[in-house]
Amino acid sequence: MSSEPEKLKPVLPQHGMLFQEHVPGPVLCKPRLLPLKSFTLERLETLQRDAEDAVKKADTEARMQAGAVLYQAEEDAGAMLEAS
Amino acid sequence: MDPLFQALSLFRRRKYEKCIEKCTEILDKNSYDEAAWLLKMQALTEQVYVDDIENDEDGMAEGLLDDSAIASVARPGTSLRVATAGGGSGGLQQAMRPSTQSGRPVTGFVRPGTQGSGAGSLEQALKTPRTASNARPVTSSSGRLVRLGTASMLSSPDGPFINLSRLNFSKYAPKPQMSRALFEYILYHENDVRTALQLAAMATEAHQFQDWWWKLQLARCYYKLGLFRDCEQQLRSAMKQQECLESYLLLGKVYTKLDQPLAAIDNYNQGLTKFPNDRCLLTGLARIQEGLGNLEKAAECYKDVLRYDAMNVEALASIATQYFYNDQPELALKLYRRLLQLGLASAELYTNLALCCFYAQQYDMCLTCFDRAITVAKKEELADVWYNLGHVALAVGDLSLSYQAFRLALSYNNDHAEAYNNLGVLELRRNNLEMARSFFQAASTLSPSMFEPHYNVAIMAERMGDLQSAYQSVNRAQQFFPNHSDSKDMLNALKVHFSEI
Repeated sequence: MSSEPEKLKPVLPQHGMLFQEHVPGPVLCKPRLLPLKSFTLERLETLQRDAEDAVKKADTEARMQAGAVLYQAEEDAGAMLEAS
Repeated sequence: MDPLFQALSLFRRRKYEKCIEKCTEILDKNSYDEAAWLLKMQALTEQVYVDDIENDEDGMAEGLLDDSAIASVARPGTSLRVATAGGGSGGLQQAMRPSTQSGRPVTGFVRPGTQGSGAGSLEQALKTPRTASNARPVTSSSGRLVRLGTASMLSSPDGPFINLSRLNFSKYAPKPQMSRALFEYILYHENDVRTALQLAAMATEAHQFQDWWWKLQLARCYYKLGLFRDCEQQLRSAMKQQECLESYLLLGKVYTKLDQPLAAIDNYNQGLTKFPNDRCLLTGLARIQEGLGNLEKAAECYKDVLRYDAMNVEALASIATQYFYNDQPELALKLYRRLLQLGLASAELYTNLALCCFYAQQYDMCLTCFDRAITVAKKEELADVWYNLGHVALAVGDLSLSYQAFRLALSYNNDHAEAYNNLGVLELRRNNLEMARSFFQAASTLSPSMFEPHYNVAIMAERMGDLQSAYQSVNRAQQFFPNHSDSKDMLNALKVHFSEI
């Protein structure tokens, strides 16, 4: 046996038919890894949300107060009508 | 206990609300108490402080009407404005990596500046902010920060704390402690850049132009006002007196605004000689490379960052994204798991974990992660979660689930171009040609830089024998992704066909 390692011979089929067919199909868009949000962005978003909540809360409170005043006025008017 | 001491302690423990209340009490008793006044000012500032090196939101007007860029037609590789979805060098990236609506490859991390950047045309810019997911202010000076300022004023019942128009700045400018706190209050809490600039100018003068801190603040004001050359001048002058990390970072931002990425890289490298291996400078470098489309180089820079700061979320996420789209989901999975260990349990992270698990063939964890993502997600994130779930269903072979998932994605965000395209492909399989065509149409109008819908329309037209429109569509697909081999083949086949006629 020779000292050199035996070389593997590639096996190529000599007869028979080889088919290679490529049928182009529609392409899908790829799956999308979602980007993580930076700390600054998250802080901005929470700040904005808090500010919006605060404004909304103040708004509803004002409306509630206005409603209460209106209700009081209606009651007063009702009482006056009854008295008259 | 002394109320001022109590207020100071509250401030140190970051209980700003209570601290402000305490200070107000003290000021009610004695309205000339400067210490309480100063403390209240600082507490108010801290409440709404956002690091403005990180925070630069580009408004629509800045993106479009911006004439601070030096070269209107920049040479390749020297501008951040050109959408580089194709990698600039004409790689095969588009076949692997999806792009954002403005045609840039998706990144692993999103910052205030990257949300809506790079709108090329007026039409695109006007279209982008209409979606709920990436609403963009018209200009940055009327943007989120100003809204924050006015909202905080609305919520205080008896008007603003300091009436700026009645303040005598020349009295405060020479007092170092007072003027600095006042400046920060005006800039961050009131968002009144002009007044802040006025104070900074007076203070610089009062310090005989020898105080680098005031020069830095002047530069900051100029930056916010969009006067980039003045800003650069102030920064250079400040650097001469004191080498400071912040000035390098700000200068990098100035060059980015002027669309001079190479100058920005130079500046960061110069900074790195003074502050070796600084994480912020390395991150800046990586961001510029990412903006230029050199994703490989960007990943290398991010790896440098990780060497010195192993918990850097931006670096971890960016490298993970790079691995995932380079066909190594196992490595991406490892990095995302590390992020989960760091305590970052958001819907985005769970979705990414699920996708990585699926493509790394760890099927047991995949659906659990999606479950978690759906429970954690807010409404605007759900669209993308369902879109990705649709992909997994498609790969498993559950076509009806994937159809429903894409539909759900559209119900949460009806501008989801990719979901439209994939629905179109599914409809094509069901032989609903008209439906498929309208889905593709919707996809291509929503995201004009995508090549998929054009190519799909071409395939559909070719099958129906409408070779003329197939030719037109495939040409359009080629325009957006020149190296797509299937569309090249189709184009050649069509050309042969036409020449035979």
